[in-house]
Amino acid sequence: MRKKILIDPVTRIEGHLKVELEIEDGTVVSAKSSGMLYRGLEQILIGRDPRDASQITQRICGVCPVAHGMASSMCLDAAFGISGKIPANAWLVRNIIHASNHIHNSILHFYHLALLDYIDVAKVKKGVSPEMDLVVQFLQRDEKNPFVPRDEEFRFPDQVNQRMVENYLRALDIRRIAQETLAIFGGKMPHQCGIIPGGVTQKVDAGKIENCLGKIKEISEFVNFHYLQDLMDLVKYYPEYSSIGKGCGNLLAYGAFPVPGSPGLEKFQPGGVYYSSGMKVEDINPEKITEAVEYSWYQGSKGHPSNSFPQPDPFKEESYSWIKSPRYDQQVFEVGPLARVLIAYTKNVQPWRGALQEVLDATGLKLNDIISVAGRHLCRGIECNLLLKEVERWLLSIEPAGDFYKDYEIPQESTGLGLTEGARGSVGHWISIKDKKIAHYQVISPTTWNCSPRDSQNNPGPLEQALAGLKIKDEDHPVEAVRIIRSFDPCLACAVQLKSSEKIRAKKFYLWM
Amino acid sequence: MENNTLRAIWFQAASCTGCTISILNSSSFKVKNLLLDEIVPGHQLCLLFQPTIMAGSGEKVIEVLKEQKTKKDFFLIVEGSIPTKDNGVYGRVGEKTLLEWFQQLASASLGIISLGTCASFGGMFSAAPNPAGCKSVKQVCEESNIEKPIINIPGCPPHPDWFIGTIVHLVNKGIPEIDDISRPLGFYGSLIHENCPRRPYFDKGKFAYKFGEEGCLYLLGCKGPFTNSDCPLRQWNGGTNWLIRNGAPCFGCTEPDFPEKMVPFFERLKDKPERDTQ
Repeated sequence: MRKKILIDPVTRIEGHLKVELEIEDGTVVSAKSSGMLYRGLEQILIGRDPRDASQITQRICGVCPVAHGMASSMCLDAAFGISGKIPANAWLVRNIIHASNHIHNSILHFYHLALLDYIDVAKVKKGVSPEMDLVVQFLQRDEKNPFVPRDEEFRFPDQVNQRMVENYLRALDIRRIAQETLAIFGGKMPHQCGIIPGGVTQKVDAGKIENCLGKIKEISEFVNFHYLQDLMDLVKYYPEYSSIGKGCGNLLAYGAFPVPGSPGLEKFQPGGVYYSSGMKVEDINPEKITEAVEYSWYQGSKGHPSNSFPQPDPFKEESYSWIKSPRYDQQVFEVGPLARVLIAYTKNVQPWRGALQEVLDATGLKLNDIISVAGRHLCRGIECNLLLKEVERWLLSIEPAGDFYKDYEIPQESTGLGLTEGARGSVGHWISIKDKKIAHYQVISPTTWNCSPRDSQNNPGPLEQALAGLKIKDEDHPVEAVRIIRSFDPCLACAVQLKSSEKIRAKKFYLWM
Repeated sequence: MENNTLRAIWFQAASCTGCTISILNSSSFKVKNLLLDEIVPGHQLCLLFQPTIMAGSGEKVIEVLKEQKTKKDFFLIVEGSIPTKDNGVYGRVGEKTLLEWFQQLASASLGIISLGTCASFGGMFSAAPNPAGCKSVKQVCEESNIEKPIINIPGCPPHPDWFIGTIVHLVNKGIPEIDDISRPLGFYGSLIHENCPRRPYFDKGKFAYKFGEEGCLYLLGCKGPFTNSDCPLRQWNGGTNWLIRNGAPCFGCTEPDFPEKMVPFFERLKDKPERDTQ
């Protein structure tokens, strides 16, 4: 007998997500992922000073504002004709700000968004540490919100469970320190002000470098000692999560963190397109990106983000989401840390290949197992660890006496494209400028790819595919499903945007990736 | 307050979750103590519903909201503005519009804390052309005849101390002293310009014309002369830094005029913007 399970809202993610599962004999036969909020930020951008985009687009998401600030600034650098003239120091500082947001997000996601699905807070004992005493004292309250109600399917042995609960609390401090690391160069978090078109707002002195190094060391200690170990234990005690929630298997990354001084500003984290069919990686061609709106609450044209203008229509029949369906080469692609790490591995780029190989050897997982719930968590941890090391290198490469900013004129007419990686995956910003104002602005965010609804060929999005075929033990507590959903680290505020403007067909998009 | 517990529902409407993340960044008052410990001796905060950190999801947590609607002894913390166009169809949760949820929860609440500039004044998503018809808490309450005490804690995002400090004051002494637009005077009582460390540059007429230059940032677009907050004294992220110290102009984010009358962000604003009827 077929029936439906509705998970609305999906919590411990960013934003408003609804997931509908159609079940037959305990197995998911079809899933629908719906973004439930529309704000229209791209529409708000039209007619404004182009420079404002680097601040306004950060308000797309308060968890990963930097990726938007970065994509937007790169997009504006390109439109202003100064992409190749950004000082090396500015790239280093931009990279540090950007990477700190990734580091913050990895820790936040694993410990505070995902881990409550696996740990039993009620099982901790008194007298182990001050933090655990605090938990025990809390558990004596009549109302234990927000830690109840909850789904219960816990497997960690007591000792491991206890350590994980302690780390949940420790990680609250560590992720705060990651935000402070960012604020050293970004001014504040969320919604930093350091990255602007042309470079960064402030020169860096020895005091800032020292301050940042200290914080990076503190975060690294936690990541090396606890985070990586906790990930291993997740793989060990929840083994089937290395084989479920696989999804489409096609992976995409634009790449991020340009290395100043390298030929063609090579990226520390390479981009590429990984086709599951051939297990090979090709170079990315942004012209192959299209967006479908068949099942989204929009009317009108579709196509390449530089020249498509659908309008919102909340009453459109057959539609079930505010998220559109971006596709590459007409196919479904997953983005995120999993995509980035696996693409770098397949391209044989260090230190990524070595780091993933080490994890494969330690866990006994095969490469194919990495495309899974556990794989997404593992890759987020691998990335966090490697970025911490790289931030140290970037910091020590800064020349405090050098330039940090390149001045520019806003052109009468221009176009630009900025492609980079947010914590959750690939971020693209497209702009057209006319009469020195924004005429068209388009954003495609990671969760737009990952949580997209069906496209014109009726192909479900990556999350929808990852849920199909899943066996659900207890339909009142579909914990398997929420674990899969959360492994994607959905960010709905990012996913739902809208493009709209006077119709301008961009002549040429300066490519900056 | 029953059992010395301040019970609160944290409702996210059209937001970016930046307010939640900012409160999680609290450094003087640790988040673990906010969630698990007494906030002042003998008093605790119980977050009945907080979408970003709560354990449960789906119907179970919607039940929490339904149950609280009848209990009526909670404060409502609102993050984000409320989409109202076409009866609010632009935002939905648990098979209801955010507008409906807001009206029901607000009516049943003891009072409302509008957290962030979106909830306080409409903020970023209500900027022209306001595609989803986003409105502030106060506006929706007025239009729906909901009369409740409202405290605004604006900022994009708000500083964690502004929020937690207000909660502590509420528990300890009741509603704090507020200005004409319901902001606690203790945090929003003076202009950034009055306490700005770059003020001597302004007084001497030494201005920065390019990013990275020394001088007052007024010509680069600083809205400090028109913006009320204690950012220069308190600073951000545990005292690590703040915008002007980082060489960036203040964007005026604690004001009702943000963003509409504070843009272009990188152009100088000559006069104090005239306020729309709030």
